[in-house]
Amino acid sequence: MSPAAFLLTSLSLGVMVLAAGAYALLYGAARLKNSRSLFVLAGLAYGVLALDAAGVVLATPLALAWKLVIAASALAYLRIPPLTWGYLQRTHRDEGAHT
Amino acid sequence: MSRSKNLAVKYLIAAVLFFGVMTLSGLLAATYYINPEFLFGLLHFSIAKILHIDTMIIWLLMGFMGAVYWFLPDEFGREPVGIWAAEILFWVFVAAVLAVAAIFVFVQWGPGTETTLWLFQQGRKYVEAPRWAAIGVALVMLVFAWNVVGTAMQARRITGVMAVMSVNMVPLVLLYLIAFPNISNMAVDLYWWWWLVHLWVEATWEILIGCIMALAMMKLLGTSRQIVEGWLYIEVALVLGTGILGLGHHYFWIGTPDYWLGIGGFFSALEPLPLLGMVVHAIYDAGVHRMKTTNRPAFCWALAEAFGNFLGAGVFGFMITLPQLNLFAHGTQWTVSHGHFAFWGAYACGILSVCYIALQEQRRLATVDSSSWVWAFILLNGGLIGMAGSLLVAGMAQAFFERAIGGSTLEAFIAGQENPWFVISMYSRFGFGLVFAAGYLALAWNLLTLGRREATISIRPVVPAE
Repeated sequence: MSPAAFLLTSLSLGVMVLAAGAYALLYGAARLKNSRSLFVLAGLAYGVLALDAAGVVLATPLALAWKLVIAASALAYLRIPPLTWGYLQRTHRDEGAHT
Repeated sequence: MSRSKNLAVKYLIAAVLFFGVMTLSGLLAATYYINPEFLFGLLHFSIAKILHIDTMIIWLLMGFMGAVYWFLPDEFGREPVGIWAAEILFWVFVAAVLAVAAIFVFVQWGPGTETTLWLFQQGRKYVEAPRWAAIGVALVMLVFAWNVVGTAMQARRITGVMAVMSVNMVPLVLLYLIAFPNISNMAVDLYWWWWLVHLWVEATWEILIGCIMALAMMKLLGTSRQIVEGWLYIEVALVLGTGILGLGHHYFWIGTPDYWLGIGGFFSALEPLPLLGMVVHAIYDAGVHRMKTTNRPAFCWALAEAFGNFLGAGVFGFMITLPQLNLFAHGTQWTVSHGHFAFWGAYACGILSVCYIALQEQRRLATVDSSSWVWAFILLNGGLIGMAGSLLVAGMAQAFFERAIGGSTLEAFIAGQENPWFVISMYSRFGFGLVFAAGYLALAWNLLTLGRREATISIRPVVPAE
């Protein structure tokens, strides 16, 4: 791996997880406020994540196995915020029903 | 207040004081990087570093213990079993830590003999404390475990949180026993040593802070036990699923078989996933409660824990965890930046949150709010982010110029250390270290004075729905 490729790959992975955080944050805020514009921003954040992950898969010298892990992670990041939110709503609703 | 809560306050005070020692020794260690002749012949850099790292372990450990002793009587409706032993051992613990610190500063090291291992230091990173002190820590851990498990058994009832905590006491005590062996083969020694360092930090401590934050959320927000326990079980499953074999990322390049590269890389790559769920949960709690709470600092520190953990462990960790990249970044300031941010987010913020929860009840304050906690919060977090950012740039310069371009030769090492990116980052780290230290002073002042001048009001604790 060339020095430039090393640095670029590493930074791309950092950006990917950072974008996942931004997506989760904006998704949560959008659900809270029921805001269409925040949903769009959350989508944009995930778009950055997806583009970044595609860049890592297509243009970096990582081994194929790691590229598969990155691609699978990018898909998992898409589902985690809605799944977590749904679980939170369900548990709080159940709590409301019990108290 | 109960004896257990009195002991908790002592532990939390000691934790905050050792947090100060950690901050001061961190500033000392940072000074060597910008002035290598600093304290030449008096105090070696390695000693300042040992003090910094070891006090970090100690203050977090004391913070955990303080938090657990604080919540135990509420969980079981009684004093913990063997509280008398814990009260005695608190003073033994503090005296031992001070004695070890004095040995590190004034004796520093000895010849490579058994006497040195027993009396001065063991020379193993994070667990440098001499054997007599390590035995003391093991004893303290054993009594701590007895307090938790024994109380649960005698109370004849156990909650989900306390069940998880009780089971967690077993590895917490057993793993510490790895602090003792004297293995001459360095690869074998490191192999086992990482069990202690990684599995304490990324397994047992994660579960312990998970339990503590579950109890804190019930107090702070009145969240129901059903919800926090549900989340705790999920967290335990994810921590054990990703964290245990994530151990493999420490086995890179230390003489272990190649398969650890795959195992370590894969499970470490999964570690950001649960942290993302934590971010969503933090948003949910902040939104549902509209940031309204009677204890704003405790709530904000709890939120800072979720975000700090995600950024420090998730983002900063993921950049260097795949073996092909770790080959260059391993052991550089890049790792240090990840370590600083991850420890801060995962543990320190949580303990500070509990400090404010305990303070509210101890001083019988209806609400906890002031401007000085905000200053402490901004300066500590700002200083930490600045330090981690500076170390990140320094580490990138090291990995790029020294490792990737220079091929890790001695010449390349010197070139890396003299590179302007590295040098400027070291100055910047020191500057942000001063900001962090100012934040510590604001925090100490706030904890000391908060509510002292105000009329105390009898408060009714928030009772979580069953």
